[in-house]
Amino acid sequence: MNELVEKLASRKTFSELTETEREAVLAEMSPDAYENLRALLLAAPALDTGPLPPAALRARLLDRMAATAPRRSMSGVLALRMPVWQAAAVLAIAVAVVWFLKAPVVQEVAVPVVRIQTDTFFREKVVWRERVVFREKAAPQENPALVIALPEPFFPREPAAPEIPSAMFEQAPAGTSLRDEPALMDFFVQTK
Amino acid sequence: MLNRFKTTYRNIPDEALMHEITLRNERAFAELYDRYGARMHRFFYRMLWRDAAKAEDFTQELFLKIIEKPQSFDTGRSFKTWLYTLAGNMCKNEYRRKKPEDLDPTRPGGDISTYYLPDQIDRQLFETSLREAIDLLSEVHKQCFVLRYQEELSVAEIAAVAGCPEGTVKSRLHYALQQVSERMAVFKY
Repeated sequence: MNELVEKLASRKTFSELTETEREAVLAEMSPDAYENLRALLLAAPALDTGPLPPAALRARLLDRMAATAPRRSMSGVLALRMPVWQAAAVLAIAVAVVWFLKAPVVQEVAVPVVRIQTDTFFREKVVWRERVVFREKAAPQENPALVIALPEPFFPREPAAPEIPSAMFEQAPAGTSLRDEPALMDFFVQTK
Repeated sequence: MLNRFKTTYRNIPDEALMHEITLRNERAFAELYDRYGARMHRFFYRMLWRDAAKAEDFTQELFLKIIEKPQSFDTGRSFKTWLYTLAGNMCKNEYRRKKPEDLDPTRPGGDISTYYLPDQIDRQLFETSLREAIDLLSEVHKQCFVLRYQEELSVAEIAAVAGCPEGTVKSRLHYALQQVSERMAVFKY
């Protein structure tokens, strides 16, 4: 049973077939079998269509779909938590971007110019000046005649201390020895 | 991303809707259900022995999978075939779980060989017999038959759903059609 026969059976009765089609069909099956096939093919699509699904099924499925859909409310946004440094970084970047993109403010200032004579005059105005910093640098001189002699180092001397004559150390000490004063000795060594 | 202010999703492809569902877009899911809810319910009803309660349960389970794991869908492939693949796998599991003896023997149809052949087609009798003939097909042949002749998927789509070459699908369809035709051959026109 080829596709051509199947296609013919779903469109034409055996009597409606052309001679060529009839030959093609008869090569496969008898006229009765062809009519049988035709009835079958026509009846099959309408067979057992069954009841329609209940409307409640659609409602249930849509409810389920809604239940799984993400809620679009602010609570979800407010529930977001992030480190403080990240928030600060985002804020700083936002400020920088705004500042960078902000258009420059141009203010016009009226400058009174008085013409005192009819002539061309130029006014010099320094609009930019290079900042120059001087730095000292030692430059050795190759010519010895130009070498400047360094001054002698000066070490100030401390004032000399007065000398003590050695004879003073040879003089006998003044006063009385305890050896010569027994009463005084007893006074110092008494134990009571 | 789709424009969320759009008032309708009707012209949006299934795959784009699935992308929106991964972003938890409820309206995209509602649109997808409106496109495939009744269709998948009917597929389960046909595949699972015309049990309306089971068809409802399976439809719910199928769409819950989409809600809970939308990222499991590869947006590079067809949504329709992916959905039928999921549904087909669910039916396979149910076939394995349910033993043949659990099936209701008193379901409409009965033994088609006992039918009387009227000159005039008795439509109801014909449909009952066709139903019975489809039920007698094996699992894979029934799936191919239902997808091709009842759900009207193309052979390429069925191959994607079943995960097999188109040649295999054609072979299965040929066999299924032959089996059903032979069982229905008692009806003469």
